[in-house]
Amino acid sequence: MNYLSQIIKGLRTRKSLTLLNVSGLAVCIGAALLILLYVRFELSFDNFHDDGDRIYRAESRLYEGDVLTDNWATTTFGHGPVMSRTIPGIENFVRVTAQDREQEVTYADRQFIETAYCYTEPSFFEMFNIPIISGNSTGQLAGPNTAVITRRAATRYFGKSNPIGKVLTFKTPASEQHFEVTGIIGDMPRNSHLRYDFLLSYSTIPEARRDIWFIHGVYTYLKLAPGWNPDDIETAFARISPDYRTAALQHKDWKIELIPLRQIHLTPRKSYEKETKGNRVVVNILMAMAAALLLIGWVNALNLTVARSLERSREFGLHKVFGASRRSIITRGLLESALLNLLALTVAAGLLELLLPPAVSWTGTDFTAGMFESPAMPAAVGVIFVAGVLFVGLYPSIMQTRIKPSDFMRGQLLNSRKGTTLRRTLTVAQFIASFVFISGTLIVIRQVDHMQNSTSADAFRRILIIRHPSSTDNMDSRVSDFKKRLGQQASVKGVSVSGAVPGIEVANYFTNRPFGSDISEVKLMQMFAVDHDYFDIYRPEFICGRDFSENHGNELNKVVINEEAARMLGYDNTEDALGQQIAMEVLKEPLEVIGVVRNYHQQSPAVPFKPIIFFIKERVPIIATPYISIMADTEITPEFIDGIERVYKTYFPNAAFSYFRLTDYQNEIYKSDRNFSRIFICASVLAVFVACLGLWIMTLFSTMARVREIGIRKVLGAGKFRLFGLLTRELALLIMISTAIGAPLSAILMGRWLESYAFHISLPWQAFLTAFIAIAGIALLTVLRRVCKVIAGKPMRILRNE
Amino acid sequence: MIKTENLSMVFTTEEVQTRALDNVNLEIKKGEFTAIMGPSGCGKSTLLNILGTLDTPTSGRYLLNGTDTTAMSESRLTELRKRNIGFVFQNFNLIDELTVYENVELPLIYSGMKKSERRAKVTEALKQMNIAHRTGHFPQQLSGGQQQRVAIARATVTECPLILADEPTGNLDSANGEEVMMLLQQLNRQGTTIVMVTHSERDASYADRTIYLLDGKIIDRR
Repeated sequence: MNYLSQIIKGLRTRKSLTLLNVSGLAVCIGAALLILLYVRFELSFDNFHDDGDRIYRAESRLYEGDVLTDNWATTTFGHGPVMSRTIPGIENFVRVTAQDREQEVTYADRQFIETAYCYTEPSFFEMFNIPIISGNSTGQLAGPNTAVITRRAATRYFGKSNPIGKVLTFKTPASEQHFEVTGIIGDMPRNSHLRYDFLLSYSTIPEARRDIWFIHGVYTYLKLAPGWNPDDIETAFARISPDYRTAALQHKDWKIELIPLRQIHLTPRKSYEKETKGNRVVVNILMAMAAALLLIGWVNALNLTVARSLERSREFGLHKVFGASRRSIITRGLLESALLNLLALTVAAGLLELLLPPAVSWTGTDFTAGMFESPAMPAAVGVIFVAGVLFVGLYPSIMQTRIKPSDFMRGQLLNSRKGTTLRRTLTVAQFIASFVFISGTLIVIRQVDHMQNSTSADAFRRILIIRHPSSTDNMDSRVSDFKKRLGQQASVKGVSVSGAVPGIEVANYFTNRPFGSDISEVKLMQMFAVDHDYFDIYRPEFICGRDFSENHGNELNKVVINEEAARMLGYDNTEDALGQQIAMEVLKEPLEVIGVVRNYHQQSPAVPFKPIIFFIKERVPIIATPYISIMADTEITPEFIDGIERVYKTYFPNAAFSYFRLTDYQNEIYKSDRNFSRIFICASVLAVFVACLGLWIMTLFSTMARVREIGIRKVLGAGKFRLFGLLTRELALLIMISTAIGAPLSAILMGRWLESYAFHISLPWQAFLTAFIAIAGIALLTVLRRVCKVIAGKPMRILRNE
Repeated sequence: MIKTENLSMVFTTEEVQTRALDNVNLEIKKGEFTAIMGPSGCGKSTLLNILGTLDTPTSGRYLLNGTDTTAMSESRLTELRKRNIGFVFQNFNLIDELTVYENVELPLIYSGMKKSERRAKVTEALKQMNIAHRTGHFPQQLSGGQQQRVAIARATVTECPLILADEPTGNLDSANGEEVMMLLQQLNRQGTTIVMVTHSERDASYADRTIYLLDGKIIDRR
């Protein structure tokens, strides 16, 4: 208690310094905790399932020789049952369908467009920890046309009435199905990669299609028996796969890869994956960032504590003279550090309380969900506290025990060079972190800009997408009339019906080969269903040939392909592809290539270019066309949307009107990248601010320690510039060293991040130069006043005040 | 060489005004060895600092070689000091991080001399002060007497015509003190003007004349 009151007195005597110390440390801890909360959320995906460590998602991999040609998150419908029957070690499995069509769901007068649905098997509830809260606890989803829905969905359709036994109608442009609600589950947690509102019984799928091997349409989850290794299953599948290869895959090696359930969220995105993905590199960088912020905060606190103990050396000397033991000095030092860290943690908790709501709305993800249930956060806070206490308290107190009381009493310690090497090293560490943050920020901003610019055109701002109406009588002619009617409006520049729009994966992989070539030449390509107007609206760049035109008569057997498709079909020169004929797996007649468009980013630069074949949608009606793009003449206003809705309702009175702006959708694609850049910006500002705080303190003490030397030099005739150089030389050197270490470090870290994108900017040297100039400039500004004050002093007064 | 007219210096703090010098009129000719004596706080060091252009008076004029220094800018004062004045302090004021050689070399660097010339001058000055064998040592490795000899070498290395010494023997034992006084006397005989502040009558006896100060006023000249 005696110690404590002494320490509190000590802290209170230099209030401003204590305030500086606590606030610097608190800001760093608060920011680090905020980042760690986000990291915890990203790492917590799918960790709530019992036996989750034995559950894997089987994913298809197709190879030609050693080359991985197709990398899908799905398997065929047939994989699950056959593997479970023939491969030992599989305890249970479940299939979850991976369709991307919206369905119009209706109950009485309530009608919504739904995407969060899937067809799945009863074993879903055995594999995953998603308890049924209402309805029978067993036998769910066994019968056809039954559904289990979430509480949220139940409220949406049935309000307060009991949903069990009620029937929901699901409609697509091509089908209509009815499902009886037999069970209710809680909403699926935010940190689950499975996020469905409607689980529909798998047995509703027609029997002929339930176990087929030629469509990669389901996610297959396997639960391995204890003691079995995913490698065992993968190897066993490679042995049986030749027996199940369809004609299209005869020349390919068909393998599967088992991805652990808990790692699905952080593995790179593959085809047919719909959910928001995380990024392992980003998570690693964020963890490093949190560590760096903590380090910066601790370094400051340590520097201040060392400086303070030098300043108070006489007091400490007296303690030693009167017999303070080594142990009591260290205890006192640690206690002081504990108090400081506790204060900082308390302030940090307050900061967090303030910052969390805006951070959650900023990132658009409630990453705080479940933060109080998980033991991770209290553990992290505990580790931060203990590490902080030791980091800040141990060195200064050990230093005190090593110094002779007589040295203390002379009070010469501030002038001595004790501990300066350590302080310099720590300052360099702070500047390295700042350098990496600043250059990293610039690189992230440039990459995100690059991605947005390369997938978006100005004209996209004027495009409104409405969803294709669900099935009605005379659907085709109604849609065609609707298009024509819209086209007559002055405010509408163009209308097109298509299978995808920029930003949305085309998927629909079908095999194609040059007509007349051997079956072994087949390649899987994305089939993009469009109408005659698609190219007028989106205007991809044609390298050669032409787009579809009604002036050329029947274009049903004509296709436009992209460069990548031309390359895969064996036409190295795109011109050679013109006029060539292609055999597509579901068609007897050949398709003629009439144009080749330059490769463009259909999804985002994060994924490589994929082969695309554009065809007139009527040619293969089984490929859906869920999107109707409407280009406004000027801009999209609420009145414009109202006008479209009125026309829509005259043609499709029973269909739900659902729309989105293309640019909004595209912004959504880069949400996580933008979040990352925002986190980087904030961390940089913070790191630089706190590092400068540290620098200021260091300068304060180092100039104080050198006042006498400066005085002598002035007496001997040193000029102002020379003295300025003398006082800032060390700083310049520290910044040089920081840059020399920070630049390659940043290049390695950010290089790895950039590599997680298929298309990325090369590391811009300007980012490093800017970071250097920024740090040098800010550092100089920080110390300028102090240095100038020392230089401007009268030499004798400097010596007298020393 | 040195002339002051009604020199006054007032230090003002929040509570009190202290008149450190009060209308001091003084003239020192070239080649003179002058001692300034008086009790603690009488203004000796303040006077010496003004004579060394390290401080500017509150009122009055100070002429060095006929040039009025009172209104000069800091940079011109620095120039004046570099060319004309060497300093010897009671606490030596050597820079701990620099070697003996580097300490002595410092004023030559500031005067812009070439390296080869500097080497010759520094070696010569150290030899003259009988400290050449300690060239590579740091100040804290030397005795007080040796440190003061280094300080005198530093003051004389630029061959300036005026040396201001502030209690040069104050931190030394009598043997070392006497040695330092002999060195100063020797410099004076070679033509250097010396102004020395001291408490010691014995040191003052080396001077051609002594000025007594009390409460910032000259009360006696001998």
